[in-house]
Amino acid sequence: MAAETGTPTTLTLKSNDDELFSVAESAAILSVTIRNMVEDGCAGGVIPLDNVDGKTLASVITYMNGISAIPADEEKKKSYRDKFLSDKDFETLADMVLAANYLNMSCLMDAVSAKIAQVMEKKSVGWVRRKFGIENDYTPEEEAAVKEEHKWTFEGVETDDDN
Amino acid sequence: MGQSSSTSRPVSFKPAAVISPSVSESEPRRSPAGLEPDSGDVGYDYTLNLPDECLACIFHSLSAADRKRSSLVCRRWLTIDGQSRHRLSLNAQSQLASAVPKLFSRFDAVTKLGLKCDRRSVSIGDDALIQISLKCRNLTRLKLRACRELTDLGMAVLAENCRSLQKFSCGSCSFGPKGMNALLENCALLEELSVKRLRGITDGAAPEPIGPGKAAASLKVICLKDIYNGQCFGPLISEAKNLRSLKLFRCSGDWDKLLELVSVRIDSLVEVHLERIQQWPKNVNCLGSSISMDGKRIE
Repeated sequence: MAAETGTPTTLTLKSNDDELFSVAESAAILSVTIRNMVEDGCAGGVIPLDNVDGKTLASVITYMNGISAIPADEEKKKSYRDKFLSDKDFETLADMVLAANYLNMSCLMDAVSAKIAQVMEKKSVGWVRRKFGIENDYTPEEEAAVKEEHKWTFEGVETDDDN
Repeated sequence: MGQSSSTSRPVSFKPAAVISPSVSESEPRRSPAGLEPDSGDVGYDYTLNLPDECLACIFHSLSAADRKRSSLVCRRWLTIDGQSRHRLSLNAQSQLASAVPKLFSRFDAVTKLGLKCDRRSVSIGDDALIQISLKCRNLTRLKLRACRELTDLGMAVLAENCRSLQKFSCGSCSFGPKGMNALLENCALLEELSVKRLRGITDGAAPEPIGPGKAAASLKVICLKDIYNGQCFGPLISEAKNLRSLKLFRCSGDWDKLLELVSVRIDSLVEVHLERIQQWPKNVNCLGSSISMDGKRIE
């Protein structure tokens, strides 16, 4: 996939806080966004990633290198992803989900989403609002109406074989 | 790689998803030290530049209880949760009827639905079921529990509106053979049928035969529990040519003839499970090695 000019198969990525990273093209193209740029011949110089900061990009590149070194074995890839995300705090995860979306990396996106969901497990509405930095835009009446609707829904896990 | 030291953006660069410009162009309003979520201040909204699909992706990994709470976070989350919810389980007491329009406008993508009433309460009636069937035409799975007020009429309209059903299961309901036949006639994609304690069938002395209907060709699993006169499912069972699994639990009466028929007609059958059948079939050997009784394999 190297460009006609014989560019080495290493790409340079630049974070929005001007950190430069070298990464093997074969790993970087896990990002569909980057792959499209490579295919369009736009990846010759420095690739600016305006929505990703240096700290997050470093993490993403670690992931790119790690996962692309694993041969086509879904089990091993999954256990790599689990291990990779196991020590990440919420702020890092939130940054990663934005980065994964911006870079269009579905495997990272799914894994980080699941991890964030794990963090939200059994947490109060207020906690989630604070954690995500979301302002409550409900009126008290609306909020009460939604709660009223919830009385009709069951929370239990649906199984197919209960009696 | 030094051919371009400028920071000009490649022309073809396109972000993977729509990013809100007001956020992407400015620095995040977050201090490097990070947001302190427990401080009570609402800081940088992490989800602002996250497209709906990504939030939906997170919601899909949440349990039902956590999803419920998430929908209370803000209006946007409510909308996304509603649109991305495929599986819903509702308390099917009669008062549910008044909440049906609002509930199903919110959850407009439901394909798997459970309607469960407790045994001591009055369940929803045909009107509510019909309303639901009109809102959920793409239903692939439906589970009814103790919805005793439903009749053949409601079932017939449901069957006409929800022809994509692949799994249907009912327990302690009171509709009868007509409702069941309407379902089998309309739902040509039905793969699993599970019926437990269907009162409408057990009442009559000589119940109407059930099946085969269009569903006979698609059914892979039939499971009957606690049904008197379960033999009325004979036409369905004997014509279900693609049946892989037949399970009969505590179903009284004589199953000999039907099981013999099944053994001759159905090649694909891999499992016959009989449990606490009053009268043991004499001729179990005709079913080959696929049969088990009370969990024990008959060799």
